[in-house]
Amino acid sequence: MAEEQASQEDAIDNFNNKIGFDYDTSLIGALNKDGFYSDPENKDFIWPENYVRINTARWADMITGPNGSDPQIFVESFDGTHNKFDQIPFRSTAEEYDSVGIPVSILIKSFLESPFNDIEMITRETNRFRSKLDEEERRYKAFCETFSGEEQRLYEEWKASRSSEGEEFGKMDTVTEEQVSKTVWQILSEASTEDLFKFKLDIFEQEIVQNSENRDLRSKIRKAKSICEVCAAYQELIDAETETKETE
Amino acid sequence: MAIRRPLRWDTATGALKEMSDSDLALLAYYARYHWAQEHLATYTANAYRDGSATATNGFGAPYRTNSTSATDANYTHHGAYNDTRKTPSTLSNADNDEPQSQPNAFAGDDDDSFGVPSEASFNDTLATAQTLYKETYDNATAPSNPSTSDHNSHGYMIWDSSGYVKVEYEVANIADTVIKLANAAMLSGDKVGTYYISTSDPSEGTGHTWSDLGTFIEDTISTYSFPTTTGSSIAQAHKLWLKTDAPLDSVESSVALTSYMQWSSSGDIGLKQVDKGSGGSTFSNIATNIIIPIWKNNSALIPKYKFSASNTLAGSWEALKGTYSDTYYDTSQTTGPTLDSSTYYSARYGLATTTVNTEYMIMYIGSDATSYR
Repeated sequence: MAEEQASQEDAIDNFNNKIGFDYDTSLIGALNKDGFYSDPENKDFIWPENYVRINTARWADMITGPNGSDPQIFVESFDGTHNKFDQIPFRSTAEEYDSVGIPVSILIKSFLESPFNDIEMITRETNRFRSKLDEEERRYKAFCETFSGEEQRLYEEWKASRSSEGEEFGKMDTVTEEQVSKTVWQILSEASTEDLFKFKLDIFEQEIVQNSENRDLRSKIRKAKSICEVCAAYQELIDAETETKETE
Repeated sequence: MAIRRPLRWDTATGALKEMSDSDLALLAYYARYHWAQEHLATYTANAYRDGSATATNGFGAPYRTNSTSATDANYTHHGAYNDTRKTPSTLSNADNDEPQSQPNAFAGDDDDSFGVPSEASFNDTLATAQTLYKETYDNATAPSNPSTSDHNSHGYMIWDSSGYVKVEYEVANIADTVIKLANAAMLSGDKVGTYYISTSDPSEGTGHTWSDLGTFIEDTISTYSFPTTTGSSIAQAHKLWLKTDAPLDSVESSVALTSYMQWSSSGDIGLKQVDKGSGGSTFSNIATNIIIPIWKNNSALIPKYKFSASNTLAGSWEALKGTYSDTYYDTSQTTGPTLDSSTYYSARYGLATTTVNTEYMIMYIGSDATSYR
């Protein structure tokens, strides 16, 4: 049973983390003490008996929501030891549960007393959860609009080279006073391969480059060996695009 | 027949007295308690019936089965329940950059711009992942009714309207007096001795014990992990629970477990107050030797279970005992193409869940309101 609960707990955490879904702590309070409560050795944090904190509730049927014949809700909760994920029929009062023979369990009682016992709130949570799922698709569509296989390949190459050099990937750049006081010439002449790559990415993000159908000049930017070469190719592309526009 | 109350010794008046309503409620509670304990012992993991369970035990109980038909004539089979889900779809494409000798600088990337799996590749894949079956043990041959000897040894004394104090031998009276009271509490009281289907412990709080009998209906849902791993996880395990205990509240404190009178034919022959036992064995002799055998012999008084797509009840002799449904992703979303280790990956997988085939477990006792009081 304990393994089963731990497995379910991991599944809930992993899925929520994966899609970036966070509980609304303005409704349920801070979560940072959960670990203390779940630690049986920690006697300073004792979870109230017969209490379950409802973390979120959403319609099991996201399509019909509360309009199904017997709407069910998915409830994520914390019982002082584990995060749990359950499905319960939706009723708004203990009397309604009792009238149809549903035991008013600790989970149901906690749900009834929680801010989630409200059709609009459950719908809000459902939409909030769903929007996180939707973001994946939105991210994809946004990516499609700017996607360039070449840029992706350059990025992968750069990432691989960083890894092979043993550098910490994703390490935040620190702007030092020395860098700030550098002249433009110094910046251009001292640029590293990484700076060159980033600069190329910035250039490729410019609308005029993205919209340009002049593959030769785009290729010239990509193949440039220095910042100056990139700038030269970029200027050439701007001139060419301007000329094309004027001709039209 | 008739309600004939067991006699007990009343210490306040120093006289024999018929059991009060609260005395009887307590006796009925222990009848249900032992009914539940007997049922509990018939299960193995995941709500299956233990093959070595006593044939006369577990009357009316629901069990999970792997068979498409009833295990034998003692069971009623309740058909199939399909756990369905749609399958995520993935695409991959090697980042096989073409030589730079190509006239077009981006020619090498032509095959990188592939799309994502079509909507149909996910939406049209709804299929049964597993089929679950259930049956109820409600056609078994009942054990014999208590013999005269059983009544003498374990039964109770009553005041007969003809003017005698005697051992209660009338099984119909015992049914009216104790069993129908137990049935009422099963239908709408503390529910001890009844089953319930729920993903979580239905316990109402301290003193309420619902024993976890394992997964009765399993609902799985599809999963996707980058780059091409598709699979499933358990969305909900709809478990079968049996209520095996409840706090006795005022019943326990008000009657102080008052016992009943019995005729002792050996040793000091005469009327004696029964040793009621304690803890889990309280009233176990009368429950297991008198009340439960009579219960099993009256099909109209045995709590039985059925499964329905409707939660409409035929009458007060029925009660809803939980629900379960099948959840699957009805709509989809996409991800990628994403380059990883020289291969582009894209996928279409689940977005919004829908629930279908909601079913209810319904307990029924007989077919009219005469099965309880």
